[in-house]
Amino acid sequence: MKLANNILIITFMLLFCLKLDAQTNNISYKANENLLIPLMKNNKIVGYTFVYKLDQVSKDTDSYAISIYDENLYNLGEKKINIKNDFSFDAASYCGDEYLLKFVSKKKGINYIMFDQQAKKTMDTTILYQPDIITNDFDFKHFQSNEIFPISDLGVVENLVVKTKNGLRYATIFISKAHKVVVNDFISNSRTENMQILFCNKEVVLRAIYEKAHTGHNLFHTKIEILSTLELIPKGKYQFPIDVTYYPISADYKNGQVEIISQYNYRLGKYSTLKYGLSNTTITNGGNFIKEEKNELTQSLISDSVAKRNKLIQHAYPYFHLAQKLPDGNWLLAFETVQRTKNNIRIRFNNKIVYAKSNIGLMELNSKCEVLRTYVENVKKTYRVVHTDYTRQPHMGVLSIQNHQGDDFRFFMQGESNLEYAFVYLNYNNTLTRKTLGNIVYTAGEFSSDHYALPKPTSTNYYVFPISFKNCLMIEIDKTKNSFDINKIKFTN
Amino acid sequence: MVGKSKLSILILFLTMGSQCIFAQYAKEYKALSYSYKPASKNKALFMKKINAVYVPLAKEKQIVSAYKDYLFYLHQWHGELSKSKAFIADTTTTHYLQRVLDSVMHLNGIQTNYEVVLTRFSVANAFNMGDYRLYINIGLFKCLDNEAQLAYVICHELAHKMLNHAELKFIAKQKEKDDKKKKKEIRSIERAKYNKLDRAVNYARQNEYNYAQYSRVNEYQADSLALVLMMKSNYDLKEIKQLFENLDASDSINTPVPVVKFFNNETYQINTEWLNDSEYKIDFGNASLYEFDKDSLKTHPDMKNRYEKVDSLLLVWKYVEQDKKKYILSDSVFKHITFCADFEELEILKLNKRYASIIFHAMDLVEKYPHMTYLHKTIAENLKNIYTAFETHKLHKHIPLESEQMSDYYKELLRIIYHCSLNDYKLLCKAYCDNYKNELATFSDINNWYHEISK
Repeated sequence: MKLANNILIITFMLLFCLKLDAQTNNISYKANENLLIPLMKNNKIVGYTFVYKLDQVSKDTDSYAISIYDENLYNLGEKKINIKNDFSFDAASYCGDEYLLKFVSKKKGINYIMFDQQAKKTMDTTILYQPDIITNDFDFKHFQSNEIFPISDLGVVENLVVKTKNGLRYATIFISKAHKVVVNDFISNSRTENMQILFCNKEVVLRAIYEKAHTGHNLFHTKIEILSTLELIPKGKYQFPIDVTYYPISADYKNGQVEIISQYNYRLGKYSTLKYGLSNTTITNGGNFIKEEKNELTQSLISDSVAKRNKLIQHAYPYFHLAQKLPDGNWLLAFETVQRTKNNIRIRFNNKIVYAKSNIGLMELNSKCEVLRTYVENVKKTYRVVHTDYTRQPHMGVLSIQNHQGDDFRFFMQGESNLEYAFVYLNYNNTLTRKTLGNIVYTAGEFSSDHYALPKPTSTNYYVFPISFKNCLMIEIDKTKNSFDINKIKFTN
Repeated sequence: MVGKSKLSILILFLTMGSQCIFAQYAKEYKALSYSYKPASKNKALFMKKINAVYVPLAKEKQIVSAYKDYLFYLHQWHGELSKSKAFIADTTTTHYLQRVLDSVMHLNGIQTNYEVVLTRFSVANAFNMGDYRLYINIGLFKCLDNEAQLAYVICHELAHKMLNHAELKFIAKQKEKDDKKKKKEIRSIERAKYNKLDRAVNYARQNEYNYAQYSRVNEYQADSLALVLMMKSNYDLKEIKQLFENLDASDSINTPVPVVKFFNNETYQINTEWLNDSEYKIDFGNASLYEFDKDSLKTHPDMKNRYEKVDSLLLVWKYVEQDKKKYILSDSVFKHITFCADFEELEILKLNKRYASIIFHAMDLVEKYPHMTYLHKTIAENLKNIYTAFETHKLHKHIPLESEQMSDYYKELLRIIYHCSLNDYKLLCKAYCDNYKNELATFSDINNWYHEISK
């Protein structure tokens, strides 16, 4: 394998660790913390890109190497490019037939570079982000959401959150296949907490905007903005009811109608128990309300046998991470529940909350938001440590419950037919002090699961990447021998 | 007395020959015996032996002592490999190879003791590293058609040793270390502020080209001396052409192996969608970051050019084909070794637990040796090993990732394994056992496992 010859990879592997934010069905990677960036097309991985700094070519220019690998990590080609040294590599994506690389600079803004299949540079554009108003303490941490959403044969959509002297600036960027760059700035106010892209296809881009509620208690007002994809012109807005906090999980667009699946919660009084449930809201592409189906889980799951057996409701709180629309109109939702500890949590003194038990599972809902079937993968003998920073804030997305060493990930992967979906997750088991890689496969109403505990890291580091349906890629780095091995992990289900 | 010894050697060869002939029609394969002796670590004793025979080429004392250290290192390396069963110690094969070498040396009046070592490496190659051993990989026998070709390979390696190529290369490398010009160049690269990598790569590239060019010249020299050595023997030198052709074709062998046929039957059919390549194919120009001229990097000249040179020498020396033979010592022993070479590759793979490769290689051999139940047993055993690895999530340790260099048929097998779930795999194994029920009937382990998966 050509890859094995690349000694530089070893050093990069030791330096960086994997991080995945699975807020939507797209897998998002941050380059500063990643090694190989998966390139996806229609929910399937087609290859990987690896970008690393080679050398300093002149006083103000650095050279970078771009390597593209196929799904089996066979090297398809390498390319050397020169970039001004105030820019550093940030993210990569695959749109249609072209590769997009993103470099960011503190002073100059964002540089997008595109390459075609023959490794020819087809675009090189820099978007300026008003460098005069960026404060001195500006750093890359303020770039929050680095997700790039590829739209098949059309281009990519990206969401940017940049901290400036005047506060946070939110923008949506569309880069077309014809190398046209469109920027839509969102005018935020002091209450704006975050903006995230919920869904995008060839016609519309849906973005969710969270605003802090006046009442506090981590309540937010959620708004959906519908933009046309090519021009990013706002087509409509929809405001969710303001007495309830909505966390949109995923959306679908069909025949001019937008279907949004979200988790909601509310309190009847200041000290009353939290009620939560799932909602399926349908609006027009102009933002007009059509209908809303609600299912309050705190009521409907009380007598449910699976929920009772696995204690999903009693002293527990579910986090719905991801949703996948099935061809028959149903929704498949991935969730994680944590059982609340009976100890009195004093957040002021402890920055961690220890949850006694956690479950991970899949739930199938019909279009009326009724629970059809639930599958719970019981992660036995484990507890969860949740930093108080990771409480449910919209800017953390709709999940981010626990993030051990920044390498937990969850995502849906489509099988050969669109009736098969695998939910893949990597968890940290505190009791075993091991990472557990698992997958739950949904095939036309039936679930099967398998999980695999990664060997305990001593002198070896393990990194896992998605590769294909029911397979993962595991990189084993032996620190003492300074060698590495790349393997496919196959699930048994 | 002399007559008796000759008779005993004749009887020995006859019995060996008959064993070898029968071995090819046996249903089981008995692996050859392997080396196990470690090297002695007494450096003083080794140096005493070396000093008795070694005539140094270099004038500098430092280089001479460094080369002696290198020879001791080689001696230890040989011992380590020997301990790990890397060499074949079967008396029939080793005596035969030694006799091929001895006969050529005797005709050429060479008195020095050289040893032929048959390694268990599957790459088609032979080598000498400067010591008194000529290594021949068992994998090379897949490219050899007869004894004359084997004799040429041995003579080629002997020529490398007689021309002191390894030692000369060592001396050149040692002198290069002290070369002031080169030292200065390396220092300037280290101190450079910009373009360090490009300059370092250019420096390395030039060094590699020089080394490869030097190596290619050595190969031509060894080819011509090997011819000189062979001329005095009765071996047919026209066979060398076929040898070069075989070696040239060895890299691109892609024999069709009907993988699916082994599993399909009336009740079970492999899903043909599993065999398809990935739906989406991407590309990125296939260029590498630093391009090296492939021809300039070659340490061996092209086989075609080598044969042209050999052919021209034969013309100049007015080579006559009359009374020349393909076999002088024994054709049956040679055929026995080539037969074993096929199966030894399986044994090597077994040693490394490369289960998919074992299955594929055994499937390939089934076409060639259909009567060997050993092959079916090997396939079934390794299907079982894969099943165990599958259950324990250790499949990745025994099955490689698909790559461009692999044959299309091997890729098919890998795709089948990676597409199966554990239940699918059970059905697959069951189908194989059903298809070869008669061949596997005598193996109780396999039968027990078959009943287990049939539940």
